[in-house]
Amino acid sequence: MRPIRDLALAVVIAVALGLASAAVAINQRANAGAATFGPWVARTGEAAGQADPYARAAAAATIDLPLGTAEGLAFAADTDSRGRRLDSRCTYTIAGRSLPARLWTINAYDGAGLLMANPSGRSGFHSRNLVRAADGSFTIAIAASPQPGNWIPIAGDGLLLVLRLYDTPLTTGLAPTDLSLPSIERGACR
Amino acid sequence: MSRAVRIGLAALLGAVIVHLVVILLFPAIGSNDVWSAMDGEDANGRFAVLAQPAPATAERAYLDPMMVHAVCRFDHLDEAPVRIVAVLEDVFWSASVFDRRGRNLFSVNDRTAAAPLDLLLVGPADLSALQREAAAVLEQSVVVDLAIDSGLVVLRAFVADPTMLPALRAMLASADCNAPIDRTPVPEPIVVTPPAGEVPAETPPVPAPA
Repeated sequence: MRPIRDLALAVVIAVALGLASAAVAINQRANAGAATFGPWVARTGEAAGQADPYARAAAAATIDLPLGTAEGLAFAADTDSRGRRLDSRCTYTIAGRSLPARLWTINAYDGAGLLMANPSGRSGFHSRNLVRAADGSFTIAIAASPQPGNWIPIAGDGLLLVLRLYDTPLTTGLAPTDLSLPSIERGACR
Repeated sequence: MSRAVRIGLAALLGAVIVHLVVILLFPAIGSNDVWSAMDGEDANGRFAVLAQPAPATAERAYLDPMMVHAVCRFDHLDEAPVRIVAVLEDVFWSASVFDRRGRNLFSVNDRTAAAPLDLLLVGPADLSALQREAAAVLEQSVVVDLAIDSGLVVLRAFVADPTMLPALRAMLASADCNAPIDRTPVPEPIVVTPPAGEVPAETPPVPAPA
C-alpha cells in the first residue's frame, strides 16, 4: 500500500504545484523577455503571431486586441521610476520629452485595470492636446486634487499607467539608442 | 534515498510537466478569446463600431479610450476570400487582422496603406486559384495570405477630441467588410515593340550643375 500512497501524494503535489505555478506565470503576463524602459513594460511578443508560449497563454487569459507592427506599441507601468508600486493616494509627476512616435496617448487605470473613474471624465492625454514647455518637454501631474498644467485626476484604489505609441519605429526594431520613455516621480502621499 | 526525497523529486518532475502542459494548452482551451467576446456585436461580415471604453467598466477596458474601434468577424476563410474596402479620413487610422485568440497577424496604418484601404484576406488554396485566373482583384487589393479559418479585422481611428467621435464612428461604420471580389482576368498587357532598325530617341544628358 505504501508505494501507492506515496505515488498518490506525489501526483497531488505535482498537480497542485504545476497548476499554481502556471497560474502565477499567466497572471504575471510572463514578463520574461518583455522589453522594459524604466518603469514601462512593453506589451510585446504578441505582434505578428510570433508569440512565445507564455505570452500566448497570457493572451488567451486576457481579452485584448494588441497593437500590430504597423500600429504601434503599448507600455504599462505599475511602479514609479524608483520601482515603488503606484498608489492612487500619492501624487505623481510624469516628465518626458518628445517620443519616437507619430502619435501617443497616456491613460490612467485603476488597480483592476479599468479606466480611471473621475468626475471630469478625462483619463489621460495624447501628444496633440498636451501643454508643452518651449523646449518640447512636458510634465503631467497625476493627483486626486486639482493641479496646474496637464492634470489627470485619480481616485479610488490602485493605479496603472498605459502609454501607447502609434506608428513608432520601435516595432520594426529601429529603436533609437537614446530612447527614454517618460519618468514617473512620486510626490506627496496622503 | 529516503522516502520523502523520492516523493519530493517525483512531485517536482510532475509539477514541471503539469506547468508546461497547462501553458501550452491554455491558448487552445482558454474560452476568453476575443472572437467570442464580440458575440454581442453585430459584427459577422460587417463592421460593428464598438462602444468607447467607459471609466470603471470592465467591458472594452483593453481598448485605448482615445481611439474609436470597429470590428468585423470573418469565418470560413478557407472557403471564400474576404475583401475589406474602407474610405477613411485624414486622421491616424490603422487596420489589423487578428486570429480568434487575439494574435495580431497583419497590420497597416494610414501611411503604409494606399487610400482607400483595400485588403483581400485569402487562404492559400484560394490565393493560388486567383493567381491562376489572373483575377483583377489581385491588382486592386493588398493581398493578405492567411492560414486561418476565422478571425477579426479591427479598424482603429484616432479621436483627437470627443466632439469628433460621431463623425469618426460614422466613418468606420461605412467600411465594407464584404466587398465584391472581381475575378475577371486582367487582360494581357499590350507590349509595343519598336520597329526594327529604329533606335528610340534618347533623352539629352542633363548638364552637370555648376
